[in-house]
Amino acid sequence: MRLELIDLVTAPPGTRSPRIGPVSLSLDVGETVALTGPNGAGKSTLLAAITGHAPVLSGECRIAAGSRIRLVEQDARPDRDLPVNGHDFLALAGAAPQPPLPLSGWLARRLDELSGGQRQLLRVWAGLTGPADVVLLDEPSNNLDARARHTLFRLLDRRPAGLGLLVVSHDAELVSRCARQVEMRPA
Amino acid sequence: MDGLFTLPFFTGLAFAVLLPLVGIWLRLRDEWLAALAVAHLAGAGAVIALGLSAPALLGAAGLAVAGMLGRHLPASGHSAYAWLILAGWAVVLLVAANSPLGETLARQLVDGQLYFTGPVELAAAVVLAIVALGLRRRIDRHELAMRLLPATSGSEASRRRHVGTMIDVLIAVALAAGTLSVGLMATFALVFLPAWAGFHVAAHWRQASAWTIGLSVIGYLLAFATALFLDQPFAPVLVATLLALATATRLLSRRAC
Repeated sequence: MRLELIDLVTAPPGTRSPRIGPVSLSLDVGETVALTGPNGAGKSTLLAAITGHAPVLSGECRIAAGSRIRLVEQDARPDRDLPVNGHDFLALAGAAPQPPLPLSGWLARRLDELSGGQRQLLRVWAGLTGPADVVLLDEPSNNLDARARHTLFRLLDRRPAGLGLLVVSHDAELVSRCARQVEMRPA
Repeated sequence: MDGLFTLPFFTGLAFAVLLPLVGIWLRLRDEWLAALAVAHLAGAGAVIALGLSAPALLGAAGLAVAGMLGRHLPASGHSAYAWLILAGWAVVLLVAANSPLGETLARQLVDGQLYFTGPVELAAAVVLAIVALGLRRRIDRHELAMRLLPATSGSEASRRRHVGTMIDVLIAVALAAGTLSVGLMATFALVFLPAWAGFHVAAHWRQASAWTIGLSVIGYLLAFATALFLDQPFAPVLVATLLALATATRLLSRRAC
């Protein structure tokens, strides 16, 4: 087991309320689990708790010894006027330097010259091929058009063997591609 | 060049390499206004130290480090830097008004006193520039990761905070030493303008560093020669030269402003 949450109760970073949970789920080696639920249910906060940014008020968050976790955020900080291109970004993330098309065609461009969807796909690639055993994807298909969603699904299908995925999403097709689903409800 | 100006020239040159590096790191954090706030505090620290018969550099560095580490206490973001700028400005002028020597130093801090720098200032500038250049790749990597890659565990976030604090201290000491040597506004100009232009025109990260440091050094050399040749005060000539260079670089780049 790579990751296990047992009756985990958390709250937004730096606070103790509103309380979110309890949530229980497990993620095995190479497994994909979808975390669903309405807006405000606390899905992103739960990911923050797993990565140590939000408090664990009760319950447990167990991460297997030696397992490395990577978070691909929903809304990355705007990259305006940031002189970092795709090559720089993948090197920084320790990711595989040669992604498939169409991503490979974007590498020479600065991140602030790419569309939000293109940046999102690069971030997903960096997460999937970087030094991680579990990747937490927060709404990876948000703001993607049909073609970009297809590319996203292709990247997910070809992820390294053994990599566990916990995917927060409202996207029914993406959720259906995961082996299991865990639904969160608002407190 | 007259031997009288040799030491000041190399002191300024070292700062022309050091301060744009600080500018790169502060710009990555979107905290470039902190440079002006910390420079004001450094000025206040120097004037206070002089009033206590202590070394000005010690006072400047002490208050600059305190301000850098505690910059988020009064407020957050740019509001905090505005608060610190006003606090530093008030302290400098109040102490200066109540001490004849303080008044002289306060004026020198604003105007810059590069031509009056000696071996101590040169040694401080060279040591700081060597340290910053030696740590540049690691600090670049840390600041880029802070900007682009979220920490994925509590321990990593804690390690990042500790590294960030050490970088804060280096930045604060560099700003304090720069303020005492080239003046408050010239220090801010060397931090802000080269990185402002370099980040805009570069196609990738290594090019951004090269543009930033290159613009700073070229601007410094032009300003030093111009100030000597035309018998003008150095700091405003440097600020005007960097303004012209940085603005022209941005306007002439293929990317829209």
